[in-house]
Amino acid sequence: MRMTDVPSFGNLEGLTVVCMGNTIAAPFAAELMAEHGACVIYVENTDRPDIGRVSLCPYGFITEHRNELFMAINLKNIEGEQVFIEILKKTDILIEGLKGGTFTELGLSDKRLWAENEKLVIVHVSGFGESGLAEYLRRPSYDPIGQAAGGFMSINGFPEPSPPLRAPFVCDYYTALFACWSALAAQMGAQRTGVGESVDVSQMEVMWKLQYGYPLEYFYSGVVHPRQGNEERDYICFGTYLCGNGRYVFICCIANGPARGLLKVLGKDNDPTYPENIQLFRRGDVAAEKVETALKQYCLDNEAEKVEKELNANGVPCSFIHDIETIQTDPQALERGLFTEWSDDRFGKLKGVNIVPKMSNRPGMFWGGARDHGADNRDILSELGYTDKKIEELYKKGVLAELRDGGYFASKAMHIKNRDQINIIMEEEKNEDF
Amino acid sequence: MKISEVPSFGNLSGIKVVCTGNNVAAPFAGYLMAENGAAVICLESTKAPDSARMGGVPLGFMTERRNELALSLNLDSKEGQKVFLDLMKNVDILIEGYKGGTFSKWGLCDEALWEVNPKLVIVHVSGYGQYGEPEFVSRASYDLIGQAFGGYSACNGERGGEPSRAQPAAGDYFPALFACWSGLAAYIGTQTTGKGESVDIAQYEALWKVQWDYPSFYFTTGKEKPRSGAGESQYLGVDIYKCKTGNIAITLCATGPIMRLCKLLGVEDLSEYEGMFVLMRGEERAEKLDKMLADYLLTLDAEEADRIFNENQIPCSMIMSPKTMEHHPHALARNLFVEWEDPRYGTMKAVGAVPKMKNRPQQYWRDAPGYNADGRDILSELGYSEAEIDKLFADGVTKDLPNQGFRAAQLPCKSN
Repeated sequence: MRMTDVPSFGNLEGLTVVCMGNTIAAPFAAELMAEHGACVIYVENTDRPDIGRVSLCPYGFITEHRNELFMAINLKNIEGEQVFIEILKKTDILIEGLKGGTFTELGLSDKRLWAENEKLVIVHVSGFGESGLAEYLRRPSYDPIGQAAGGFMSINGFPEPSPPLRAPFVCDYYTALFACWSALAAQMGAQRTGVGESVDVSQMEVMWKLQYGYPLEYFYSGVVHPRQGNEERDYICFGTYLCGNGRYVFICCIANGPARGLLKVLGKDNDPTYPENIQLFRRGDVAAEKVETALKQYCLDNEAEKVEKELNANGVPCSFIHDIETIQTDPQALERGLFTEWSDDRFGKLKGVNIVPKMSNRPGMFWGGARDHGADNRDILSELGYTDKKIEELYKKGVLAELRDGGYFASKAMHIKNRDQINIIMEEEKNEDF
Repeated sequence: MKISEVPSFGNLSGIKVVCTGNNVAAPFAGYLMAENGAAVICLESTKAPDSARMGGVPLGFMTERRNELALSLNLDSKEGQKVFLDLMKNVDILIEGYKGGTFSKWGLCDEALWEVNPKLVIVHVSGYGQYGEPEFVSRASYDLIGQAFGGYSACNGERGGEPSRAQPAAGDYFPALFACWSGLAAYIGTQTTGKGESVDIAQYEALWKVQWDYPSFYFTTGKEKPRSGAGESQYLGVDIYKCKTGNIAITLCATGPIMRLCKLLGVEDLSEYEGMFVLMRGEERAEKLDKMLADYLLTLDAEEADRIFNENQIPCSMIMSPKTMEHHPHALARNLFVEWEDPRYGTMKAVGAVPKMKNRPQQYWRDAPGYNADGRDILSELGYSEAEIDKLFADGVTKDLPNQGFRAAQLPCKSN
């Protein structure tokens, strides 16, 4: 597939993006752009595919690489570097997710890239940044490393036992979303000034950035925010509540409207103990604790469906704790088309999450599934003016490659279309060499 | 302060944004733009200030409303709507965080806004979206409601335990980041085509969107991934381990680190682990290696383990908190934290610019503004005379609050 074959649609139509890096932290930023019409070329190594391809069942990879073109280039080879530079001359945004400083080591410093394309936006995504202590830049990082170093684990979970990892891949997704918005902001700056930009996204720093007032609380008052499970430290009528039919709901009673609504549901709206204007039910306050006790009992006395409906009807925020199975029958998810099906060349009909968010005038769309390792090498290079002969030569020298089985070679599920067969294979896999 | 007085810097210099909503889900998107040079007006209701101001010491507000202007308007009144439309003529991006359909209810639907400014980018952030089942659209939502309906709580929690919550406010920060990138994408599309855009962000959908293989795993196998505490549901070696003192996070999901770990632990027959990508739960050699790893870590302090494992290029980190991070050499080398003077609360310190921009960096030029701090300046910039502004104050279309809207959260009950 050629770059010019990408359909015209969406708010990012006409934008060309090159992305490389493993699973989520860098690639998800590019996937969001691809869903809104950008032409995204995903570049993998010639000797090994993206780690997402080689998992047992590469569901994540094939969900988050739709709408993209695929190349495999050996950047350590001087000719591979030249091919890469040729592509970057036609590119608006480069997003790379290698360890801090790797691009400079490869001879692809910001300065060198701007010498070839002065308006290029370069987004470096790494565990600990592009500058700072050398020992840290070299550090490998994955989602949990970012959650730990980013202070995120220290405020999650219950006081005991150990700080928890939050699923799925909170740190990688936060990082990817930072890469996405900052790339677009930098693109706007580059268009305005004619000068490119280099953005240094560090996983660890992203996690610190998303902690509301907690860092300031520590610096201001010396208080290290405790791990508090599902509860709030300062107020109640907030948290997980067990309902009569064994299902859980989450209730969040904050602000005056919800507080009055809750009193009404609990039959306390005429009780003079509670003033007209209530913002929060404070922990430790006698009258507030009475409301909490009554709320717990109310939930136990009713089915979750009724609790959810009745509290919401009275303006009290409340939701079932949905999982992927229960959301399938939820009327709102169905009405808005939260899930969508698509056809994958290799895996057939698949189902996953649709475009988010929805745009009204230039909506995003899916035009194709994830493609094989190196699938678009030939088309893209011929588009850049490489002859067939030259392309063959690059393959022979190992500058370009297409790995066997589309790069999904560790996936035992790749030829399977039927879910029972996948289950059987997953069982077998436990006893088999990987 | 006037819109035109915002200093020139950053990648978003010249972009004008109005942001209205409570706490995090909508405002944080505007705040990130403000850090990068956009002129951002924090628009608050005359009926109640942003609830983030209401804390005893409103630390989240102080941190995440820096660099902004403040204006108060009564959008539920004819006059307030007229002022709002005048404001919309002059801005590029509107980010609003009210319940689905609220702006339409006020007569401020997308079409009405495009009538005064055809190139306006409108970003709606709500719990359940702007359309769908009416009963859901009108529902209130907060962080945790989003995490529950967004399938996020169901993924989190101990093995076999209750569903849990990702702190702080993951249910709000995710939609905020979606609002930020999609607001900018829509702006780029608007510049290309000359036609504005309306973006519909439902908090719960933003959360479903960031779940890697959890949804497709279910759709393909019919099975749900179980909650797995700190660990991974399928793999060992991705977990928080106990050390002699403290804890440490480790991630083993590539051949290199697994082989280096084997050598570090003195595994005799390395060929047994050759080519191994992950440590599959239930597999004998994987369970054996995980046990050796856990035993080894119990002999080390967390600091020691962190040093040894990173020297061996095995991904690992200590569990950091603001206390341990404040003087961390890498945080100091990269200026992770910045200090500023707040006229009300004195010296404040919080997280600085993330990510780092090389050519047009972020700046902090102002602390979080008081309620309606810039009301008069902005209205006069829109062409309102002093007399007209006084009338708007007199009619309650705009107003000031005592102590600039900063006040302790009210006590909930008379008995307190």
